[in-house]
Amino acid sequence: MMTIEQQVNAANDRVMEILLKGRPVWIDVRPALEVIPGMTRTRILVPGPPLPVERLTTPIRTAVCGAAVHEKLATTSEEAWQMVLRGEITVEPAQDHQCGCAASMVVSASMPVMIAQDRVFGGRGYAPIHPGPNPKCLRWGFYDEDVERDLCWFRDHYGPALGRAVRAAGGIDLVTVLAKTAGMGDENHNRQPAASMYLALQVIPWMLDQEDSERDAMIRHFAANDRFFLHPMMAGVESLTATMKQVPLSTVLAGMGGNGVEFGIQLAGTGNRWYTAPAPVIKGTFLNPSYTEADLLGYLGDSCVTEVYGLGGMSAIAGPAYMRMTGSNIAEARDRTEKARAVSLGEHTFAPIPWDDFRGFPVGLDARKVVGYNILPISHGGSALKRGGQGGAGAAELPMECFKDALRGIYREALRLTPARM
Amino acid sequence: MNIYTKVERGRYIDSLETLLASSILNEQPGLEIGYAGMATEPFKDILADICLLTEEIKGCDGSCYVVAARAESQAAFDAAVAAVEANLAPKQEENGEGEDLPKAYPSIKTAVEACPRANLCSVAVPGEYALAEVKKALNAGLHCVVFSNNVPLSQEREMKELAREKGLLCMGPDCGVANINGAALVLASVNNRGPFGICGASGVGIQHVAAILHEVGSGVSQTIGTGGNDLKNEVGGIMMLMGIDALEADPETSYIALIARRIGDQVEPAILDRVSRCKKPVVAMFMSSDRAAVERTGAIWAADLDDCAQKCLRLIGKDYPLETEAQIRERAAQVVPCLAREQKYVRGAFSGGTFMDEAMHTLVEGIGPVYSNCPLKEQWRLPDSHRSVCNACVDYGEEEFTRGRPHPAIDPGVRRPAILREAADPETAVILLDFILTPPGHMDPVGFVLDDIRKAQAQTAAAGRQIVFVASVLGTDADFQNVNDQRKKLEDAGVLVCKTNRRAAMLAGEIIRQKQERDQHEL
Amino acid sequence: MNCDKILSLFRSELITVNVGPKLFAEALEKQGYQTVQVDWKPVAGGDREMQEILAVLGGLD
Repeated sequence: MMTIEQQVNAANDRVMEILLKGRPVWIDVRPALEVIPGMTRTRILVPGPPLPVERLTTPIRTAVCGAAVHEKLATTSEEAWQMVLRGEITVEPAQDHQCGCAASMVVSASMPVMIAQDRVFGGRGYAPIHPGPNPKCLRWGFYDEDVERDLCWFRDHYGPALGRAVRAAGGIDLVTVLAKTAGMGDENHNRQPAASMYLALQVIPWMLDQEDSERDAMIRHFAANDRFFLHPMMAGVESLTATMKQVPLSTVLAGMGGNGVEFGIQLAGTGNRWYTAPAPVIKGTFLNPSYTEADLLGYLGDSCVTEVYGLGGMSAIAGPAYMRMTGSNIAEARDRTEKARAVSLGEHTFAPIPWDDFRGFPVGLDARKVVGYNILPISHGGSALKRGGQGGAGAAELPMECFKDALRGIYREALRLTPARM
Repeated sequence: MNIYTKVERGRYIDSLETLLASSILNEQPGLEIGYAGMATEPFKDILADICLLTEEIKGCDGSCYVVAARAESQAAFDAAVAAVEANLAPKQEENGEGEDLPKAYPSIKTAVEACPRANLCSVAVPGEYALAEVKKALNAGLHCVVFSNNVPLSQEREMKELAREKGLLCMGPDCGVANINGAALVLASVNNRGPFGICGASGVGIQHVAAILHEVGSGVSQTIGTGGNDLKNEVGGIMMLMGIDALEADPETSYIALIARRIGDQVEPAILDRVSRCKKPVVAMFMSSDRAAVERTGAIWAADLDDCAQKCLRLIGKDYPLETEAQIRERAAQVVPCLAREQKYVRGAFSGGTFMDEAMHTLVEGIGPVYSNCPLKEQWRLPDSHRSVCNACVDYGEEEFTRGRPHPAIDPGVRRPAILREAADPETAVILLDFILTPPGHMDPVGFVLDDIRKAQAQTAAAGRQIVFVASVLGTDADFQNVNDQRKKLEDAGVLVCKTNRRAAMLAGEIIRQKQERDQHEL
Repeated sequence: MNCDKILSLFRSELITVNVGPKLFAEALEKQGYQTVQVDWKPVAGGDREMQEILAVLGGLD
């Protein structure tokens, strides 16, 4: 009979196979209600681990109420909030539904979501469409008539058009996008102009012959958004974690995110169970010199699922420009990647980093190594202001307590599954 | 003065470094007293002793690095902490400069991957972690030398059984001395290569015999320290038996010297049996074994370390003349008349157990009971290790003094206060000291205490008496400190230097004996 | 006992993996021997509970 360690190692081998060999492909865009498992008309998906609604932060609360009004569940934000408090509108972690919500983004029933499918292992993941460079958006905790107009445009024009395009293109292989743009300086969490451009090259031809009065506006919007790739990539990661979370006893990171108050991680071996700790603040630079750390919420958003796949802070050395932009340096970038390598179980081979001896992104954070070696992995991220809006960008150390608690969870599970040892 | 503290959770700094940190901390201006270390229970006990244990530190555990001090201001404390940090960090700063500087690896596995030709692993981690690291090293095919102590005997046996299964050396735990391929490992001396292979359960014993072989121009092929517990029944002498096998098979070894203080009754027959089957000449210094039993194996019996070295030399037709009893009597007779009426006792301050034991056995023969913190007989135990009575020897390598600090050979500071304290006692006639040289040790252990020796001489002279210092230095002229230079410094300061620790103890005992005789006549 | 590995050590250039204080590695370097330093730290920063869990779950080098 296998020891617990052998069982855990075998589970991790299986999960690493999914991470390393899975092929997430962006295949479609559909309304959330149609495709996301467990989605209902009165359910709103939010970033991070679960939080009692009374403790939701201002930007999330604004976005949730905005989404409810957008869905015509309520006529005003205040009315919507009362429904949330009464439980008539339910708020759930997006990642429990294989969906990733970056920053303050929330997903409601009619919103178009991108669908990624892992063509090797079959999992599916979802993410809303990146709203573009306009800072006033639901994704940063704002909701008014302008935002409502944009949400409708996305729902009625942009989402369906993108869906038609990727279907016509036969799907966009996200691994190919990463491979083609290897060595172009993206770290693919906070900075992805190369990947977004390459993606646009694949999609725009299929938008040109679409018959929609908004066609030119949509192409212009698409081409102007150098951060577009983040969201299909998040959907892609979710398509992999969907399968990873079916492997009991694996100690590999399979999900993480913050809700501004708490930060949580999920391990493959215990599926959608969250292990939480107070959310760290993202340290780096501010978009406005008058902002201070006191203006910032703790880590907010699910965009760090890209780190689950070895991007962002894990492969910081791949994106030197981001380090520069956030007041850091190349030595720190190298250090972040070396730390990640020390606690990761594998390395992607499809996107070698030229200035790092053509090594790949480290991937597959093993909670055992994080705790055992006492090395805190680092996630990149954009910081959110308490009152809504983006405060800046930088990096945060993931809280050790999450990983310790997660090991307790796997340990209990191991004892439950292997009672003979007791 | 107020108490200031700094706590860093999850930062690990080894005790060797924290000790240095504490020394530097206490050199800083504006501080009355300070202490730095990992917040283990013994560390907290010391903080309590020096009244620095705050509520905050009480709540810390061994994963916290703590600096605490009574300082005149926060600024003084901060400056002191910064000075300590600057000293902890220099290596890392240097590493940032150039890329060719050696890199450190997070684990034995990664180190071996980076350097597949590595063949030995030196393990010096807290005892509770030693087994895990040694197993990793053995499983990676590395021979081991394990300096860690306080390893449970069952764990020692486990690592040695694994080593035996793999055909690898596991020298230690608690191995202080080994010389492999000419390299002085852990606390060994640098020695010439030569035809003698030594295997022993006493580090200082090996070092002593090897140093004498070196001094007459011979040397050692290899020396294998088994660790002090190897010959206990619980461990079974695994490494001693493997060491004999290896030295017998080694073509560069012509003669074998074996050194053991106490051999477990269940282990002794196997060891003696193995010695009797050894095809090479063996000199055996088995302190607790019956002479006849040792000689029945065909081995040459040695009474003590000096005798062991001399009998080894006899095998190659050489000799190392040590002070004779007559010479010792004569040297003693020269100093005894200078002693004042009340000066009656010898006070030994040792940096390790082997030499103290040897000295006490020697002293007891001539002058009777010797009190100690580790006495030969329980009724001779000192009630307070910091207050000597009658004839007394104190081992400053004992846990009560080191408390997580390194061996006195590395950090002679532990023993330093003893010199002035013993000299201040009007009943002290002789202060007996040992000095041990080794590459990782203090670069000038004699120089480190020379000021105190001179101060003690001046203070006793001012009080109308003359204190006698007797000392020996263990090491070779190949050691970085050079044994001859160290001896010369002592002699220049008026210290009576003997060639070996045993001779030094004989001289100290003889001085006391003659003084007793004189005092009786004068009555 | 088979002494091949020990005799092979005696015949090889000594290269030491040093686990613990750099002091010992520096002493060997000063004598002219190559060393490889392992920056040893206690498992899980000394957290006993985690050490016990990791002893079962494994995964560390």
